[in-house]
Amino acid sequence: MTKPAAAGTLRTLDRSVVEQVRARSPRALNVFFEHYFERVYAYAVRLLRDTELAADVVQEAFLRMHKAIETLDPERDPSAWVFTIVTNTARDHWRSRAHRAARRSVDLEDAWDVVADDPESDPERGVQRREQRERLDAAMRRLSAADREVLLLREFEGMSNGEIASLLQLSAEAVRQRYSRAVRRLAEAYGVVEKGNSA
Amino acid sequence: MSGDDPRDAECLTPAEEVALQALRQQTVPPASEALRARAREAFVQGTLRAAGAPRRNVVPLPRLALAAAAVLLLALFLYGSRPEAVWELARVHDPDGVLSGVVAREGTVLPPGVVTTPDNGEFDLALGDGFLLRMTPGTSLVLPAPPRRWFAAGMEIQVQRGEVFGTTRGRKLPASLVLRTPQANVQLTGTTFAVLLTDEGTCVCLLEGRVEVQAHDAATPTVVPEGFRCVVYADGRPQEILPIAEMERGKLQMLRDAAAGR
Repeated sequence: MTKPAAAGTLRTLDRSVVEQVRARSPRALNVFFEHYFERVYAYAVRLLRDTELAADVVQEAFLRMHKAIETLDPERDPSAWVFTIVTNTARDHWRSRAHRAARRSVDLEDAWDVVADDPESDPERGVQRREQRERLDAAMRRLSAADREVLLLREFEGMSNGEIASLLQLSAEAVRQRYSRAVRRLAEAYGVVEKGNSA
Repeated sequence: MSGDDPRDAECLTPAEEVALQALRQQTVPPASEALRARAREAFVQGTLRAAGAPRRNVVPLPRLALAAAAVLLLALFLYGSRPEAVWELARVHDPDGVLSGVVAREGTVLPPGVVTTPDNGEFDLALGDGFLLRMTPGTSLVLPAPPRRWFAAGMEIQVQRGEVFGTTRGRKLPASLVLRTPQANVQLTGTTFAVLLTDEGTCVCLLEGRVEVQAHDAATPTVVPEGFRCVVYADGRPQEILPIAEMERGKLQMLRDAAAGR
């Protein structure tokens, strides 16, 4: 079995911090924010494939968390609460007609290049990395948003099928099937794009 | 958070392993400091700011808009002091205030017919002082004609897509109120609830009160307990009764409190 990449590397917040977050302690709120911001941003970018839309979603999601802070349960890992809100926010934005029409795929390509292009690195390796990113991005775009949700929560947040089921209001079996389908479709799309590039 | 799950034992093909490995190796460009600052402000202070825009509060309305809405509401009250109630736009959570493709302000009276919210706006509709309905972005429903006397006759609201949250403000309705979705009829009496249409089907969440959910192909309705949700699947799977998700509970509580004027 291949374990999710992030499993074992994620630390949860102490219960005392979560309790102070519910009490709206400014210090605890900042600790909580720093703990989750990068993960939330990365999840939104990978899910939506659009850095500008992801930025909107991240901002809106944190605002929703501020409003719903009383629903945060100190007895549970807050990650499920956080990613429930982020996922629902992303879905609301995803349904936006304006964003469906725009689908700024170039935006994400450019953003990738800003990070990865190192003028001192081997140019050939740089080309290979860029090609791999383009193949992967094209493959991910072929997945539905629902498939990407399950895939990303498993692979990067290390959530189990049961945890994802609770977050997405599905059965654990439905999550398992959706994950299998998402991996299969990703592999098919990645292989098809690769064959297309090499043709 | 644990990834251990007996059902996680997936057998991946070599192609799937390659694709997953490529996915895991892909790093995300870091967020800008400006975004980090805006998101922090949103979380810690509850204020939302567009990139480059001055800070503004999301919840409180400007005094002038409140005063105008109050005057408009007062005028509508005087004009509509007849026994029958009307559908009225109670609150607009949308920067453009566009509803069903036209600009609409708080206090606007809505005629019966199809109402569609834009993909970035949320709207509250009120019928008299006994019923408040919140439509989230991308929601479409058919408003019925208001009853001649407040809830003297039954009303049916067709929910075509999206999500609606509603509250009868703790009052028991003298007549029946039904929300109809592609999968089910939802009957309500004195309730705070949500009806969510997804790819899976219809999900009815009940915070308090009483609802009965009857699938279109079912002989009898299902009573939903307070604090639970009923899922009617589009693919014909048996209905499920599950606890309300945290997110929906929070939204329902906020709606109920807003309707009570707290």
